[in-house]
Amino acid sequence: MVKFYFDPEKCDLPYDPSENRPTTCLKCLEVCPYALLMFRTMKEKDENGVPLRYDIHMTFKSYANKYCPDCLKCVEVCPSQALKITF
Amino acid sequence: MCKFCKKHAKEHGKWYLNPEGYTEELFYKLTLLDRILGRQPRKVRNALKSSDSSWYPLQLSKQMDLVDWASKPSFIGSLIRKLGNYMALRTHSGQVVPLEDALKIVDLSHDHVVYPCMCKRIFGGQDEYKCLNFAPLTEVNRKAPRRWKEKRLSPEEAKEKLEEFSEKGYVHAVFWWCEMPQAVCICNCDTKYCTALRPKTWYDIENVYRKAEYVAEVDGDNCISCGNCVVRCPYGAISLGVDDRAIIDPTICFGCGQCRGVCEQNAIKLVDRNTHLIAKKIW
Repeated sequence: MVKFYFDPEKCDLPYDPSENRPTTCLKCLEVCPYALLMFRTMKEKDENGVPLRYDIHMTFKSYANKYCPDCLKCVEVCPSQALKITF
Repeated sequence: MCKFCKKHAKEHGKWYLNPEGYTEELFYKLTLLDRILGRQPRKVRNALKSSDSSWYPLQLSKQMDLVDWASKPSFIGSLIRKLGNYMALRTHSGQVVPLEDALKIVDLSHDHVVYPCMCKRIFGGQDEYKCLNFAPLTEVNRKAPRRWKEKRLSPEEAKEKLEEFSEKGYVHAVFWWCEMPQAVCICNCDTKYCTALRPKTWYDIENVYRKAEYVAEVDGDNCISCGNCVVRCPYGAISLGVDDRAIIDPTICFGCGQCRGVCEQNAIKLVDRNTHLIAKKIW
């Protein structure tokens, strides 16, 4: 079983409200060969409608077990060591 | 002919070539329940919700986590698959179209706008302006409080963009909004990031991303087995046979026409899926 952990305290990118996403890093998404990782904003918002929290999430879990090739590129590329994968 | 074209196409042949699907009357049509409750039609309500691009990622992640249950064996899996097929027709799903049909759709519609591709934004972390949307939906999106960034195009520019995308290897797909004949956008999908293709190929939810009305075929005499089409096919449907001729698997082929575009010998043609012996049952 692939299990994916994201630490929101370590990954703290500036959120751009006009673009509706953090525009700086997100290297982990670019590097994933099967695009299994997903960026999502969470429900809580401030008074301007800007989401307070986001996270990186592994989708298609049963297929991630087959396709995630334990390359660990996402873990290596992260500049703030916010990601962890266990197999 | 597929059952949806029979129902919605009328004399135009294909549902997306029916000009009715691009009109505002269909978009703002009220049901009886809407009139009683005094609310806006479902298409407008959904459009206002989804015009906030911070709402979309959370919604999609919930849907994709639900879709994953379709891989469970037996009862739960088949139930989720049926639910997914039903919801796909009631929400926002699409059908692959080759370039010439995509250009016809541009002629039928007005007010062309490109939005950044949501799939690439969520799964790839980058913005690329390649989702070509048309009139009723774009007007509603402009009324929303927190709207998407957009680039407006003239019809000629839109056609040029589509041709450019086709050269890059992106697959065109026309997407409907809430019900079938209401076409609202042409997605130009990079298949690696596509949110619609993966539920289709991995979990067999066929209505999410229906195959085109065409299927590709090789004319064996012209083929010189250069392998261009094998490299280009985003679905892995083409292989080189023992006699050095390209073979297209009609059960995998989506009919996007990408292979035809790169074939220098003009050895690949698109034939009607409804007349094809094997592919006519696979959508």
